[in-house]
Amino acid sequence: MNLPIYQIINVKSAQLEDIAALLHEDLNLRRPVAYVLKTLNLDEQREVIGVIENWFETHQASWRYPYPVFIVSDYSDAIGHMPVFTEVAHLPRFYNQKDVKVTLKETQVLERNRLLQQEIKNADGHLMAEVVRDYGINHKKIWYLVKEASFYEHLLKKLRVKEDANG
Amino acid sequence: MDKKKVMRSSSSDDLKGFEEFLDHVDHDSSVDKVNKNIGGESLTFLHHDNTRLKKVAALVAQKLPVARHHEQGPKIIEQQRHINAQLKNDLFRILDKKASPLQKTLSGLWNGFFFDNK
Repeated sequence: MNLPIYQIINVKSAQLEDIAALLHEDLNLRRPVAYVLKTLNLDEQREVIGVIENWFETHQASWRYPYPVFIVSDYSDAIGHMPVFTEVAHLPRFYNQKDVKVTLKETQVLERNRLLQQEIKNADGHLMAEVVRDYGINHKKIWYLVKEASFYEHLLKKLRVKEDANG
Repeated sequence: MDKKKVMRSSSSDDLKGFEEFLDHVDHDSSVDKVNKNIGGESLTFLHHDNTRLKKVAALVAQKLPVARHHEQGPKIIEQQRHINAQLKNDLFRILDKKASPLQKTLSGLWNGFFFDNK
């Protein structure tokens, strides 16, 4: 068993068959993955990002859970939803750990993590993402409405103080 | 302690005759790997990852299904809109009075513009 540190995949070809060979259902089940597209030209990089995003969409797989999937490309501004970084060094540091031999104690924790990873994987990632998005949109609306209410309350308070002062 | 010392010093002698076999063994890691892991950094990292996974699992398996089936967002939004409408009514009622600061300011402006010119 290995630590859940980055699996760096260097994409050297923009051919569909070659990319398809790099994608599979359990890709991000045990560890985060980073596709490095830097060896391709810009057009190919954009194309490959689209192919990878489509693959997750059509295979009902989530690139968020259990571990995230990142893309390292010269396209720093994300074209789609997947997170894109310009350098491998810019990837989140949390998973940047030394690849060491695991001890018995660590193996036990890894075993526990395996169950959780499978549990997360079994959930419908797309449906969950949709629920989270809707939840977020509603909360944003509530936030704006409460802000508006707070402004009215502030005005009312000031006006009432003035009214009382004038008798 | 003595036994360990003896074993360390004589390890090269013990390996005599096994050199050919040892050439096929992957030398790159095991000793180094164990040494690097002495600080227990990996264990801490794994515990943090365990906490993260637990939170995600709870979100996916418990919180989101509840949020999906018993969504309260639209009800709260409706309620808040009603509160805001009431507050606006109160505000306009006060501002509509003749002695309100808004009316006073407006009449001051109005009178100042027209009557001062005469």
